[in-house]
Amino acid sequence: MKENNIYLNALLTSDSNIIKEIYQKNFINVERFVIQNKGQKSDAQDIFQKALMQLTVRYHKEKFEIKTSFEAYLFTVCKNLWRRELNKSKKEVTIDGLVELRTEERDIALSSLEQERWDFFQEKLELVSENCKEILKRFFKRIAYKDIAIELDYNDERVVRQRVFKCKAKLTEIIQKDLRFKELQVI
Amino acid sequence: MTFSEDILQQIENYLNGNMNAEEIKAFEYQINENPELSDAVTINKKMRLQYGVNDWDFIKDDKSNEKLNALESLLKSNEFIEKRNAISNARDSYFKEEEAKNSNSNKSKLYYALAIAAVLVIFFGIFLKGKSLTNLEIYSNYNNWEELPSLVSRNETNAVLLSSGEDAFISKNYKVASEKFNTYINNEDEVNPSVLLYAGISQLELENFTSALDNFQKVIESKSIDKSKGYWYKALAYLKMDDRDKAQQQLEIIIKDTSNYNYKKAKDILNKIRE
Repeated sequence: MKENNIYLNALLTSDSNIIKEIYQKNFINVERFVIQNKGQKSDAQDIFQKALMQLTVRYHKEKFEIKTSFEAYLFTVCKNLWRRELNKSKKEVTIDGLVELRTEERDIALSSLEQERWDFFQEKLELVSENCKEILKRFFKRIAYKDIAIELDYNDERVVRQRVFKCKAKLTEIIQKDLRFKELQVI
Repeated sequence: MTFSEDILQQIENYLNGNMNAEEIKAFEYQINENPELSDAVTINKKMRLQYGVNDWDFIKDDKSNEKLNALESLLKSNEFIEKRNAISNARDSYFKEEEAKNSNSNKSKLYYALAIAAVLVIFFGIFLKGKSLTNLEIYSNYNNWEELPSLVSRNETNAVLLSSGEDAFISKNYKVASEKFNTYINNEDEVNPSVLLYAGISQLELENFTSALDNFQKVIESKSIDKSKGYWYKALAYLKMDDRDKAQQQLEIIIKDTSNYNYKKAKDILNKIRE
């Protein structure tokens, strides 16, 4: 837990030496991930820097605690930023000719709020039972009911379907109960 | 709010696109009539986006979103410049070290290859005639920064930063120069490409290649008539990085259009490289 704060504080206090350590410990993994997912080394560099900027500005705005390790969270942020980039180009292709021009700062601000919302939803998923979590993760990955049945050892897909409905209802209830949801839903 | 399994399945079908036109119409009518159903559809859609693995749930870029505006102004604020620079410095320093490691291992491979070549030369009694230019030799024939336009006459609020940056640049104090230019760039919404060139070349002199290339790329992406200069300086950067392939790529772009900056020089270099 303490280590997480060391890195976040280094970002806040502009401690280049410790920030460099962040690069040394984490960049290679991010680079590997980006390259395995249709990207180049330069994309990884870009994403990594944006992730650090995002963490800095969010931590500066309001101190937050990372519940896992700094490394794991940074990797998640990078993964999401890369997914975001890939979807951005999809979006730009569909609304052809209407490529939105915005400053890098505006884009990092947007990605920060999106990441916070993503964290909120993940936090809620952690609150359902272990069994529900496993089944829902697969459902949202669009794995077919019959494959979920085999993987999680259910009798048939009908049982899985009923479980999915039950678990989704539970998750929906948890999400809606949180007052932050209303706020997050607007944006 | 509990729905029958039938309705739940309909929500799934609707979101999966497994309904025909008539079913869609009927279901959307129900959504309109029943706010609870409408909520359920919305949240299901949201969960799919949030928990799915492929899509991304973008936030609308709404000018009246105060949270968004606050983050943006913070990112643009003076106090943030230092933080941004610290990240850039850490990045440059990290990649410089990585590069050095790589080139060391490449060097030892090169020595090994050269040793073999030398043995072969002796063995066959062949003497190499003539020699082609190395990347660095080409670079040092062309790294003439005097052709950059002066920034001093620019009539701007932050003109002091520019002139002190340019002074430092001329006296080859590239560290100071690059700090001044970076501060200027981070403060301005629109930056003249010449400033980006100065900033990039300062980084190039400091061998912060990633930052240098970033700045030159920004010149290319600018709408300025000078944008082709970006390719030229990128080519020089790659030559200095001893990456002939990438340098060549930039030069090839330049010679596609005679109006591009240093068209003739680019052609000359390419001819030399191809010799």
